This record gives sequence, structure tokens and C-alpha cells, in this order.
Amino acid sequence: MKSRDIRFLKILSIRGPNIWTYKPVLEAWVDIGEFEDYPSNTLPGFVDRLCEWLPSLSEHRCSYGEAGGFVRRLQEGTWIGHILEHVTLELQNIAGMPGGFGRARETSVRGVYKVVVQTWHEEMTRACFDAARSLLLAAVENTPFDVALTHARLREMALKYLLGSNTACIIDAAIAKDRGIPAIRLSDDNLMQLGYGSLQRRIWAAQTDRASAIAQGIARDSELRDKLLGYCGLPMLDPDDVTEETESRNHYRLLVVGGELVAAARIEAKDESVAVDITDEVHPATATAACLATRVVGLDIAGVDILADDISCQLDKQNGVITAVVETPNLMVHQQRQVGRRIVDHLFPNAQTGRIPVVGITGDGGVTETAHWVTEFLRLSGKFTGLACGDGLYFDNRKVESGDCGNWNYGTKILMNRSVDAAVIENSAEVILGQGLAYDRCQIGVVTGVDSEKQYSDYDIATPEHVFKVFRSQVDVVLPSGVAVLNAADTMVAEMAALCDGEVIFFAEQADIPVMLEHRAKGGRLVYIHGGDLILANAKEEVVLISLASIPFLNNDQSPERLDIVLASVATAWALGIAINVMRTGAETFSMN
Amino acid sequence: MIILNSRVLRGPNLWGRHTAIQLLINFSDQEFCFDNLPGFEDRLRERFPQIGSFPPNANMANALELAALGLQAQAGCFVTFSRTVPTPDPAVYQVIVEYTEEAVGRLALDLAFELCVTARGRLPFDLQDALSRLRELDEEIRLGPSTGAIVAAAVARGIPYRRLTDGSLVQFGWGSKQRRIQAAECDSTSAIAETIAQDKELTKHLLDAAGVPVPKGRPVIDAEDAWAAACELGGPVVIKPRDGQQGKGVAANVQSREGVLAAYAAAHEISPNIMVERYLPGQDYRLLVIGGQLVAAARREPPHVIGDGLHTIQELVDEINSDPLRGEGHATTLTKIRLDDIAMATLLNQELDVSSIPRKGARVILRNNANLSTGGTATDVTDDVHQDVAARAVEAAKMVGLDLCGVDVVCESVLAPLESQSGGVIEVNAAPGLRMHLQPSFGKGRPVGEAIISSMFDERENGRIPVVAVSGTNGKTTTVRLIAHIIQLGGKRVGMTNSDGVYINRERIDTGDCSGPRSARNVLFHPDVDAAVLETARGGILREGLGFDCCDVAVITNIGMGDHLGLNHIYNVEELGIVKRVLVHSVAPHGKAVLNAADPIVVKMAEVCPGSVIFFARDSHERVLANHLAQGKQGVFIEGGMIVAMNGKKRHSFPMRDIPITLNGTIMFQIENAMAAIAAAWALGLPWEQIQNGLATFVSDVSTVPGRFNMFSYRGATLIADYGHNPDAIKLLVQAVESIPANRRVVVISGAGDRRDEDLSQQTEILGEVFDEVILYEDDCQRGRSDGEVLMLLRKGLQNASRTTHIEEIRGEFIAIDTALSHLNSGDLCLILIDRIDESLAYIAKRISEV
Repeated sequence: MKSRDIRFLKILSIRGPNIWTYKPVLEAWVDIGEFEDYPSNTLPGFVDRLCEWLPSLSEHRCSYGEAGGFVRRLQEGTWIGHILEHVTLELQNIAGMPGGFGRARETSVRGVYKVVVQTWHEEMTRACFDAARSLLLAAVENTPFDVALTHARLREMALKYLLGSNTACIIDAAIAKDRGIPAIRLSDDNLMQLGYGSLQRRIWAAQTDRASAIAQGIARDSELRDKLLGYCGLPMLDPDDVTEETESRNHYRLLVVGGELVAAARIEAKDESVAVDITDEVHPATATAACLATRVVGLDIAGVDILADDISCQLDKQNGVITAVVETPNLMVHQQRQVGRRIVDHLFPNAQTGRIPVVGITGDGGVTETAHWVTEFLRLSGKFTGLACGDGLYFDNRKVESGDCGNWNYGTKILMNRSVDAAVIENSAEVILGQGLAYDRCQIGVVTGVDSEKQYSDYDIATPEHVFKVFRSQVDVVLPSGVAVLNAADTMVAEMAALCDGEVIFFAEQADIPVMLEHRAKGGRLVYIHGGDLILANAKEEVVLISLASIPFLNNDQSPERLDIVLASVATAWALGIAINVMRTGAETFSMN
Repeated sequence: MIILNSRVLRGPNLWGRHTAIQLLINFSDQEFCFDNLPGFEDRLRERFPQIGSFPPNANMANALELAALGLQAQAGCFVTFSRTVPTPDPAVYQVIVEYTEEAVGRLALDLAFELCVTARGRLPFDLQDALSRLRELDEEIRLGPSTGAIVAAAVARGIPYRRLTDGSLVQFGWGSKQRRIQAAECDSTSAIAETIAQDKELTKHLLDAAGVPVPKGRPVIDAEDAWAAACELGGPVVIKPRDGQQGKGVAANVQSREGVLAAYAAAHEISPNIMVERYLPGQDYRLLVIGGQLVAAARREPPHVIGDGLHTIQELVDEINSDPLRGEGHATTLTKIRLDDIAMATLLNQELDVSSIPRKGARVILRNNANLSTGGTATDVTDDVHQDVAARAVEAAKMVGLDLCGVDVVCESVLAPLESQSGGVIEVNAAPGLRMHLQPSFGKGRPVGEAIISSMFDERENGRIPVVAVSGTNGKTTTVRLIAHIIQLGGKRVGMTNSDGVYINRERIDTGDCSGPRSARNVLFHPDVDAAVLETARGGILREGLGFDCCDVAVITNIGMGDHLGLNHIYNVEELGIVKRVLVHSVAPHGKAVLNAADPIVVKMAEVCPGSVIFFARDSHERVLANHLAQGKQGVFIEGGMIVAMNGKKRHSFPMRDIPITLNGTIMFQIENAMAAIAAAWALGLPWEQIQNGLATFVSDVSTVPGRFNMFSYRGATLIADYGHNPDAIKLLVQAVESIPANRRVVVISGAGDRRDEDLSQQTEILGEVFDEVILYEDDCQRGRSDGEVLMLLRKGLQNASRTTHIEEIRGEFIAIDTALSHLNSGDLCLILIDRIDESLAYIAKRISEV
């Protein structure tokens, strides 16, 4: 069996929510060739060698839902594509990226699988795919494989590519469920954006965008720093007084965030690798002194180093001194304390999430027009709006790029732009399949209509069930506080209502179709046409927004396609909470030029 | 000539508002007068012809004074003020010379000495060398043009400033309202944004995301990769370090393979991370964005020469460099053109070298980089910038996150949008140089310093917090504390200095005598201070001047018979008045002086007050106060158990029974303190209710006013501890003691050795009239007197005592206290004049607790 090989046909880099999961993934198309005829249990010694080389595979639950589940599958016999998924994930785990998402699915071509693995960094996951392939082939052929070297190489890569521990500590706290703040990595370094558009903040390690450059300069200049602290009566080390006696005293690190002491540790080793949490022991006057020192230097976050005998006593009672104000403190010395969360709360007080209104629009037909119209409504309501759609990239009234810009790349540009108060992003099925959505979640998800018979052969999507899975991604990401705007006249689209975490607004030409009637009966909002008028309805009342005759966009063309655009746009505006008079004006004035 | 002492007056002082150096010099007779030094003046003028004209009967002190002033002026410092003042000792003179930079002033005085010595000794003096030393030093330490422009703009707005380092770090405003800058970088400038700006690739990535046009390109790993990148882009490219500064290692418009490789090598000298990007045709523009607005724009031209068909490039460059406006560094309008390797390479690209003679009218570029620091020129084009170009620059600044930055744009013209001419933003610079906008080589200068200040301080804001300065012979500490207490009730955090420490929001952060300028500056630096009440003693005024440029309220409680007379060349109360007057002179035009109308020396100070005056006196019929009130001006006085604040027909009364420190209106000196505090609070515009509340809740005890009329009860006897230590203070205490009923009165007193003999004796003289028993003590701290001397002087004062029947002499303050306590019976009164406030109060507290 010399021709046994695992070949990567292509690897799709899917950078946002997708048909598989909310997280970025790499989707590898893998041709396992003759392995299709050789499940794991038929390869002599393979499973034992694999388990010996990667003993931690025993933790994988797989379909049995308990540790050891995957090893059972190996012993019972599973296909190499599935094993590739698990081994890649395990290599990522060993390199420091635990607990990722994975899937392996057959395609319509025999022996070709889609192997999907969550990614934190594309280069990193590609390397893990390659290493997993080599490892598997070596295990199959019983040839030597240097597992330790592979681990070391991947760990080194991880150090280079992944976020540093301080940055990760803050980002993890930000994106955690209870905060739900989106994050975008802006550079290969640790520059991260939290939140979107005009509500974003930036961090770089334990440094926020409010950290003043002048203040950092003061913190680093010990002579100047001591002079300024001295002006405010804070105790400092006399440089002539560094005796053995001071060496024997305790070194403390007090972490001040936004004017408050959030953590304190006794540093047991010079490199800060050993630290004991003593946050609750700090004397209030000492905490006040640390906060004052931070303020005098001018920083919003700082580590204040203190040399003293006992942190639970006042500094002046024991000749305690401040020895440094560290502008980018190592958060790892405070692991027992939720310092990442405290920094996030400092950046986003009052449970703010940094989210601007994001409208994601998908469907077959009318999407670009709807996107333009929604943008117009947002602009009329005074928001600087970014629009990435089928005919270009727009910032407010300015067209920045021409051509199809409704994709991950341009969507992300909008979310990165600090001027943007609201974002409207068009996504085609191909974008969802091949790139993922640009945003993790959105305020409004719009599905205009779906051609369930359409095939996407490049992605091996051929059945209505698959098509449904593609477009539902847009509804899956609607925030609990958000709204899905769905075409009730389209059976497949109407079915997506059940998947929405937030509210649903249905639109359709006819108000009396069952989906509409049921929705209204349950208290849902509807947009429809009645007697030549555009109607907004909730459980209690109906409001005539405008007569169709007053909508220049229709221009005597009241075809279902045109009407759907009107309905979807108005419904989205309503979902965004745009005032009725603004909606009316937008409807009366909008045109595609 | 012997310098007896030298002082640097860094704030408003006896001589005015100038910063100045003051020397006390002893001259020997024969060297002193010009009359005794034939030809001296001529020799002086030969050596320094620009020295000013001398007064009649000029002497060596005048020579020194005018030389030091003239040398600074000739070196380009803006100084005009100097004085020579005689002292009672005919050989000793004070010489005062203004400076703009302290070190330059010191050097000028040293050189002036040298000048005088050489002129006297017929020795040579190198004037040019002296002036260039002064110029160089001045250029090195004075604020650079960018920082200087911002500081000047702040000063014009009335915003106080303080240099925090010898460099360009400057504090504007005070306390909680302070802001900082460092060159053209302010405290709100984000460090992350600066890091982004330094990374050109990252900057481009972000700008591109924001729809700001940028040149395409990528980082390269080596010279071959640079060439590959150039080929991908097609056409001319720019090669530069990813994190460079001031155009170091940048090569533009490179097209050939050799050119790319050479440029890579040059850039690699500066940084290992090199970028290759498309070369944008056109000219270099710098757009200055401040607080979201385009404030100035300049077109920048690289250093170049125009051929005349006669001279070589070297000669043409030398000709340009001979322009006095061109200096070596950043300090002058223009910088000299350097013919270094980069220039040579640039010339070589044009198939030229320094010995080439360009034809007439030919323009020869010497560097593909237009920074002023490499010899370029700048032309103001602010009024030409198209609104779209300005909008892109503002967006670029916002995207990077800089509130103050220079956006480098390359395009054919700023008159049209960048998109229409394939122009783009190539760089965003944090801490941009302002020189090209302040003093462009061509075109109008722009008020960019003003724009920066406006972005930091709201139009109506000047960064000042309310400042009350208090001085006087007696009562200042209680007055300071009372004023601070009243202000604090309004929710403001008060920074307070006095003779026992510095207090921030009631917390003592420094101990000892803190009534000088250093402590005042510390309070005004402290970020948690919303208002300052500063006790301002004469020592600091004489030593260094005030710690602030002006105050809202100056309070002079009294001068009376004075204190510390004989020290520091202050021999009488008139002279003391002149010193304390400095405070009144420092009142802001909108501010107020609170002056004691019953004290003739204090009354005279009103003449120098730039603001208005609130007089206070016990008696409203007292002449000065009565006249003042008659004119409808503000005054405070006593009337029937009330303290009354009156202004024209408006009046507000404070019943003294509600002012505990006055003991129901019985203790006169506390009433005066309360009047001064009421006037100060009134001057600050505080509500009457707050003032009343403050007076009612202020207690004079050990914790609030240690050592100031602290009353205790001991075995049925009344103890009063006070720090009073001059005849006026003793008089006031005696008057207060007389109003308190007592069987027998005992006093414990020592004396500070540095007071005049008569002042020491006078204190016991007063006490002898009211106390039955006097316990004299002496401690270790005799301030220069021999053992027993102080006791002897104190005893002398008691010689004719009318009441005292028992006198005892003790060594040690605590033993004296013990002795007094042991003599007390219920119903007696004992006044303890303590010296070491904290220790003695603690000791008294201990003794009371043991009962």
C-alpha cells in the first residue's frame, strides 16, 4: 500500500462566524485516497503508536461525550480524516490553544473530507495540520517520528504568533459570555481592538489607548518619577540607602486600574514567576498611596512596586517605599484575581459592550439595494455609517472602493474605522461559506430571500438543507437584544425565525399569510402592504408609514422584487429603532443614485 | 570681591516679577569705586563695548551688575532688569540681575566677574568666546521652538506653567486642573497610538481600512526581496525603515535595481525592518492636525541648490549655509545642509558630485527628503488645503489615535482631493515639529501653539485653581486652617501649607516648616488639589521669591512690632512690610487683598494691590476702614457681638457666639483671625452659609491647629498651649488670658535664640504684668546663643514685673511642663508656650491622660 497518502486539496481560511461555528476555522479539503478503505482498526499497530505518541488524546470525548471516547472510536475503527481533525486539535492544545472546535465531514466525492479545525492563527493551524499529517503517516507506516521536536517547534511558533499572556488575559475577559465584547487583532503584535467602530478601544498588553506616552516616559525615568512622587509626599527609596537590610524586605506589586487598587501580590522571585496574592491584606493608606503614585505619573493602569516589611501596615510606620511605577505591568502575577475583567470594566464601564449597530444582510436578490437604503436611514438619523456591499465600500457619503465589497475584508475595515457609528454589511452565500462573517454578532440580521435550489459547487453545497445552513448563519449571530428581519413569504427564510436569539420582524407583501398572522398573534412585529400603503404593525396597532405611490424608488415598478426591497429596508429601519418621521423621509427620498 | 551669599529668585520677589539672581558681595575699599581705579571704566568698555551706561559715582558692584545683564542681552536673552543696592555695611552690596535661564544667568555673572577682574588687572578678555558660551548654553537649556511656542501661548492665556525637567516636560495649570506637555506631545497623547505611528506598515494598514489613500507596498526581508517588491509594484519606489525618524535612511523615487539595492543598504543602517512602497509623485506636504482639526499645512522642499553656471555645488551649499538663520540643530528656523553620504549618493544618482558646476537655473536636489532637520525648507500652504484633503488628514489622525500629529501627504497639489491625483498619506507623526508652521521659510506663520493650548484648555479655562496666600506676624496658621476648613466644606479638596506641614485634603504629607515656595509648588503640583491655601513666610520670599506667579486672595493678618527682625537684612517693621507686600503685589487683577486696616504697615500695602482690597478691623470707625466702607468697598468689622461683612448697603453678620474659637467673642486675636478668614472666603465668592458653617464647625484643638491656643483641662485647672514667640503674639495671648477667670496664673516660657535681645526681654516684660508665676526654661536648641543667655534675657524682662511673685529656671521643656503642672490647683490657669509643637503637645496629652 505504498500510495497511501493524505492530501490537502485546499484550505479555506474562514475568519468569522460560519456554517460550522461562531469561531474562525480553517476548512481543509482532504483527500484520504486509499485510506477510505482502511479505517483505523485495520491499520496494524497504528492506534497503539498514535496513543503512545499523543497520550493526551485519551482526554478527547468525541461522539461518546466522555474522556476516552475518541480512543474508543479509534479502536472500533474510524476514518483518517476524522483522526486528522483530532490530532490537529491535540497538537494545537499542546502548543497552548486548548479546547478548540473540530469537525470532519464527507463530501459528495468519495474519499474527500472537509476537516474543520478552530484557529487562533492561520499559520499556526496550517502548521498543525501539516504536523498531524506527517505524524499520522508515520504512525501508519511505523516509521520514526520525533514527537518532542514537533511539540517544541509548534510551541515556539505559538510564542511568535499568538497573543502574549497579558493581552490574552484581557481579551479572554472581554469576549467571555458575561461581557460579550468583540475583539479584532490589528497587528501581528499584541495590538487589539475591543468593540467596533467609534465605540472601540485599543489595548496592547496591559496598556490601554488611554495610557499617556508622556506618563510612560515619566514612569521609565526613575529620577524624574521619584522627583514627582516626592513632590506629593510619597515615600521613595533613597538611592544611597540600598543596603542588605532593604534586600531582605518584602517586594510587593500593587496593580492599580482606573484609580483603584485591583490586586496586590508579594513577589517571591525577581522574574515575577512566583507571587503570592495579598490583595486583601493591603493597608488602605498604602492602597491610596499606590493610586496616588499612578495618578501623579499620569497612568490609567500601573503596577506600583513597594518595598516594605508588612503590607498590612502603613508605609510610613515601617519605612516602606515605592520603588517603581510599572507602565506595562505583568498581569500574570495576579492570576488569582480577575484582573483582565477589571481592566475590561475600566475600558467599558457600566456594562458597555463597545458595540455599534451592525446590520448584516444576506439573501438572493435585492441585498445591495436594501443595504444602501438601510444606510440611508442610518445616515438620516445622524450616524456616520459604513457600508460594504455589492457595488462598493462607502464611509458616510464617500465611496472609497468600487466593485464587490460585500465580504469579510471590507466588513472588517468598517468595523475597524473609528469614525463609524453604524455598519451595514452585505454577505453573499459564498462569503459565508468561504470567508465567514466579518462580525461575531450583529444587532440586525436580514435575510431577503433564498433560492433554495441554488448550488454552490465550489463549496460542495448542493441540497436545500445545506443552503439553509448557509443563510441561517446570518440569523444565528443576531444578539439577544437584536432583531432578525426575515422574509415571511419565503418558506425557508421564515423557518429561520426559530433560530434567532433576539426578536423577529417579518415582512411580506401580504399580511394574511399564516406565518404573518401567527407571528402577530404572538405579539411580533410585521411590515406589509395594504391598500397601496406600507404598514408597520405590532400586536396592538397598525401604522401607515407611507403610500407606495410616494416612494420614488418604486418608480411605477411594483414588481415583487422591488417591493421586497422596500419592505426589507423599512423593516430593518424599524428594527434599528429609527424614528417614524425619519423612516418616512428616507422612504420618500431614497434612490439608488 | 567676596560673594557672601547667592540666591536664585524663581518667583515674584522683592524686586518685582522677574526671575533674578541676587548676590551679596563684600568689596574691599580700594577696589571698589571707579574713582579709585583710574582707567578702569575705559578698560571695561574696551573689553565689552556694549556694556550699558553707568550711573554717577559708579562702583564695582554697578560694573558687575551691568556686565552680567549686558552679556546676557548680547547673547540673545530677553533680560532688562538689574539693580545694585547698598546695605548698612558700606563694603557690602546686593547685586540683582534678571535671567531667563538660571544657568545662563549664573554663567553671565561668572563671566561678568571675570570681565571686571581682567579689566582691573589689564588682562585679556575674550568677549566672543564668552558670548558664544552663553549662546550655546542658552540654546541647550531653553525650551525648543515647539515647546516654547506652546508655553508662550499658555502664558498669553494666563495659564501658569512649570518646567518639570531640564528637557521639554512642562506642567500647565495647577493641582487637579493641571495638564502636561512634552514638546509637541500632550498628556492625552496615547502611547499605543505613538507605537502605531512609528510602525509605518501598521499605520498604512489602519489608514487603508479607514479609506485614507496610502501608497501600496510591503515589508521586505532582504535586498533581493526589496527588488522583488519594487518589481511587483512597478515604477519608482520608496525604500525606508519601518520605524524610522526624521527621514533617516529614506530613499525616494528609486527605480533601478542598483538604486534599490543601495537604498536598501542605507535604510538597513537605520533599522533591520525595511519597507518598499510605491513612490507617489508630487511634493511633500505636512498637515498638522490638532484635536480633530487641520490647523496648519506646509509644503516641504528637500535641500537643494540652484545652479548659476559659475559655482560648484559645494560652493553653492556653503553660500546657503552662511545664512545666519541656518543653525546646526532644531533651535533655529532652518538647519544647515549637510553634504554627507546620502547627499553624495543623491548627487551620484543625478550623475553629479560636489565639484560639479550646475548650469544656470538648474535645480539640484541634495536629498530626497524634505525634513527641516536635514536642511529642507517649508512653505506655508494652510489656506490652500482642499477640504477633502483636510478631512483625510483628520481621519488619518483619528484612525491612528493621535490627538496631535503631523500627517505627511505626497501629492501634486493640496488644492485638489488626493483621490483625484493619486496622492496619499505616507506617514503620521506623533510629536510633530512645529518649527515649519511657526516660522516657515516662506509664507505666514501659524498660531499652532495657541491651537494646542485650546485643545487642552477650554476657552474659559486657565488651569488655575483658587489660591489664597496668607502672611503676617501673628495668626497666620489659624487663619490658614480656618480658610482651608471653610473651602473644604464646599466639597473642594484643599492643599494647605503652613509652618507645621503640608496637608492635602486634611492629610499631612510633609512635616516641618512648610511656609516656603517649595511647599507651595508641591501643593500646586499635587493632582488631588482643587484649591490651595498657602501660608507664606518672609523667609521663602527673601530666599527664592513666591512659589506661584499670582494668587486670587492675599491675606496679611498684621505686621505689628514684627518678628525675626535683624535677620536677613530686615531691620525694622517697614522693611518687613516691604517683604510681605510682595504677596499683595502678586494678587491677580480680578483678585483681592485682605488687609488689616488697623495696622499702618499693612494698610500701606493696598497701594500695590493689582486687584481690590477688603479691609478688616475691630472698629468700623477706624479711619482707613471707615473711608473704605464709605466708598462702597468691602470691609469686615465687629458690631455688637457680630462680625459684619459690609459692602455698600449690603451687609452680612456672623454672631460670634456661633464662632467657637472666639470663646463667645472674648478672645480678641481669634476674632481677628475669624475676620480675616471671613474676608478671604468672601473674596473667593463662597456662599455665606458655607462661611458661617465653617466658622461654626472649626475647633481650635490639637488636631486642627496644633500649638495655636489649644485649651485643656487638668485637675480642674485650665491649660493653654501656644507656640507664640514674639511680643505681639504674647500681647494677644495675655489679652485672651485676662478674659478667662482664674485664681492664679502660671506661665511656662522659653525663647528662640535667633531673636533680638530686646524682643526676648520684651516677651517676659508683658507676661510679668499678668502672671503670678513664671517658669523659664531653656532647651538644647538655642539657635546660636550660649547656655544661659536666653534665660538671662528672659529674666531681665521680669525685673520690674508688677504681678509675678515666683520665678523658676528649668532645663528641658518637659521638666518645665512637669514643674508647672505640679504647682497647679483647681481653678488656676497655666499658659504653656511650647517650642517643639508636636512633642510637647503629645507630652501634655500624656500627662492629662494619666490623671
